[in-house]
Amino acid sequence: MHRPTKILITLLLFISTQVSAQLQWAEFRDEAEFFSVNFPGDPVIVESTLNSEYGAIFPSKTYTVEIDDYFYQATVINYSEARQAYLEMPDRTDEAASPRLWIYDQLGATAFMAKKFRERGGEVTFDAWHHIDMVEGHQLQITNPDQSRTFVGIYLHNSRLYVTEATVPSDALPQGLFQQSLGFLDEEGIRIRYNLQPDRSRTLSEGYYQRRRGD
Amino acid sequence: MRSVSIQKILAVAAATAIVCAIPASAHHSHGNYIIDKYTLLEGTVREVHWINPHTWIYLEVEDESGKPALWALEGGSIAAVTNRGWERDDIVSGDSIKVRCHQLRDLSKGCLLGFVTTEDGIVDREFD
Repeated sequence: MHRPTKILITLLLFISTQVSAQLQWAEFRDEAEFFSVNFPGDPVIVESTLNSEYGAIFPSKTYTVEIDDYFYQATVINYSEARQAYLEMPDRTDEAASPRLWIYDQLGATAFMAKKFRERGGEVTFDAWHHIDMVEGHQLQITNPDQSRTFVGIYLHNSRLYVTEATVPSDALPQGLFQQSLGFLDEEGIRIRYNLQPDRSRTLSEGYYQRRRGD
Repeated sequence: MRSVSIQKILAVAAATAIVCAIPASAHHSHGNYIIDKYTLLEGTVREVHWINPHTWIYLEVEDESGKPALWALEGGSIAAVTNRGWERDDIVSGDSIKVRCHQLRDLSKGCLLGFVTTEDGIVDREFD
């Protein structure tokens, strides 16, 4: 290899390492969407819509921070008007008008989103059930065809689907600092946490009530 | 003066001990880590993120070929590690530390803490 090429590659690797080192993380909160997450900067927020598994359209918001080859995005899909959305589907069939389909759509939303990530291609290196604060969800880690790596978290809470995605260069660290930082907030912006009971039901934790009381 | 029976005192003491012994449930599933096996790492701290819901230590470790490799070590929340006796300045960039942690199941360079030993004499203290 020519010496200038070697120097250039070394310099690029050095810059790539420095980008990782320079990221300054802070908690971001959107109390209107009832969540918090750590970002390495102020996210760009875009409102849009998303087609669900069974064909209804729901409002969504993306929150994106991009720093060179480091991509961080949180997405919130709001299913809270799901029943109405199904009633308003212009070409709905008898089956689509099923009194339960709008619920099935939400219950299946995590699996549907995980499938969409798998369909992007690449090697899935981790693919399993997960929870944050006992809100059930799913995690994926994917090595993409270009060798970049994607770290995904998907959780359904109170009729909203929360999706976090970090895609970083092949030599970057695992992105747990982002992937596992999601938090769920109540109507007053207080972080929610559940306890899991032996019958698999959930109850709000004592810590949550203490935070509400300001203890 | 009202008397309190020995049995009552013992019962209260036992109940207190049980409550104190029950660990707080984890903030998230640890299923993405190899939780039945420890990984031992020794290296130089490059970054410390003193942030919630988890603190993070980025540790530079020499790999098998002698090249430096960076690892992301996940700690507990600020409150949790503070309750273990850690202070923010106990571990800073440039420190040499040893850790026992649970590596990510896909064998990438992430690890769940675990225990930390510092140069300054903190031995095998939990950082979760």
